[in-house]
Amino acid sequence: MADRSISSTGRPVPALERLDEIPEKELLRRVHEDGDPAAREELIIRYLPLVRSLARRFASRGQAVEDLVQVGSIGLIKAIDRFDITRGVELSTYATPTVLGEIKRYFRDKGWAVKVPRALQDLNIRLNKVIEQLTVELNRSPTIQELAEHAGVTEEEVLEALESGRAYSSLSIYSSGSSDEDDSMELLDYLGKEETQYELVEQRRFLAPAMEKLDERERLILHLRFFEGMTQTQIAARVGISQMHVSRLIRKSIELLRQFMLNERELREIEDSEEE
Amino acid sequence: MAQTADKVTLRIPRDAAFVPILHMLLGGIGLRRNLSFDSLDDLQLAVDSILSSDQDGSGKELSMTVLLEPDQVAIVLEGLKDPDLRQTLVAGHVLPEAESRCIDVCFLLRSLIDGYEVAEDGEDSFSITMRKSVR
Repeated sequence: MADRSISSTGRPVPALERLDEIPEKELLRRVHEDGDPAAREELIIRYLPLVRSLARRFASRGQAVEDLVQVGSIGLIKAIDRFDITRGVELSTYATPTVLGEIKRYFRDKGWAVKVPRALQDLNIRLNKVIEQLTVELNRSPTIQELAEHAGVTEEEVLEALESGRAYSSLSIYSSGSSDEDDSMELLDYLGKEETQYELVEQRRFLAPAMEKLDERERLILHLRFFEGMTQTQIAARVGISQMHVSRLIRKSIELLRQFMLNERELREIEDSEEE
Repeated sequence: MAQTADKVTLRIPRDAAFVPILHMLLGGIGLRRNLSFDSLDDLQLAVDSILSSDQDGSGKELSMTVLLEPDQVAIVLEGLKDPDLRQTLVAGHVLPEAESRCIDVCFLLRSLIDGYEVAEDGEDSFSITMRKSVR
C-alpha cells in the first residue's frame, strides 16, 4: 500500500493526508510534475474498476478476465503516464480508449489463440488456395462438396476447417487498419455522385466516421459488398485476393465498425456522467 | 401435394462461445442444399449480425430453426431481447437512439438475405425469420 502521509519527493505535506481524498487533478499534477509514485498508484487504484468493466466486455472471447484486467492495467498505466494535464479532458476520457486498445492488441497478437489443431489450421490454409483455384475454374463460388473433393477430405472436415479459420479471424479482428489520416478515403469517395437514395445517404452519414478506422482495401471491400451488391467471388476477382480472405476482411471490418461505435458510446456515457 | 419443409432446430445458451455451433449447423444445411461458399457465408454473417446487435440477450437462451424449403432456406432466430434491435428491424433502418450501439443491421441484411420478418415470441422477446433463395 502506498504511504499516504508523505510525498515521495520529500516535500512537506499536511499531516494525515489521505491520497484517496485528493482530487484527481492534483494527483495527476503530482505524477507529472513531482514524479510522485504514490499519486500514480492511487490513480491506478481508482481506475481499476474501469479496467475491470472494459475487460469483462471481452469475457466471451476465450481468455480469462483476470488476464485481460492485467493487460488493460498496462493500458491504464500508459494513459496515466502519457496524460497531458494541460488539456481540459478528464483522465477517464483518455484512459478508456487506451485500455481498450491494449486489450485489443493482446487479442490481435494472440492470433490462433483458440486451440485449433494444427491439421485444421493447415487444411484451412489449403482450402484458401482451393477456393481461389475453383472459383477461377468454375467461374463461380464453389460448394462445400466441391471443396472437399478437391482438397481430398470429407465435407465435415471442410466445414470444421472453415469454422476454425473464423476462430482465427474473430480473434484477430482488431488488427489495426490504417490510421494514417492522409491516406484515408471517405466512404463518399467510393460512392457514385449521382447516388441520391435516402438510405445510402443515411448510411454514409452513419458509417463515415467509423469507416475511417478501416484501411483503404477494407473500405473498398465493404463498399463493393454492401453498396454495390457484389458477391464475395466478384470482389475477390476485382481486388485480387482470395474469396476466403474477402470473407474474413468483411467480418473483421464489420466487427471493427461495431467496436468503434461501442467505444464511442462508452466515451459519451463517461463524458455525460462526468458532466452530471 | 405441397412439399413440406425439412426443419432443424438448435437451442443454445446466449454466449459467443456457442455461436460456432450455429455456424456448423448452417454449414451442414449448406452442404445438404449444395450452397456455394458465398451463400453459406452470407447466411452465417446474417446470423452473426443479428446476434451481435442483440446486446440485451446475453445469458439467455436462443434457438435457431432452419427450414429447408424447395427454393429457399429460412432461418428463424427466437429469444432475441434487445428492444432497440427489434425497433430497428421493424423500422427497416437504424433509429437515432440506437445509432451508436450497432451498425445498421438492416442494411447488412438487405445484402445478405432476400427478406426478413419480425414477430413477438414471448412477453419480452421476439424472433426474426430470414429467408434466402437457394435456387
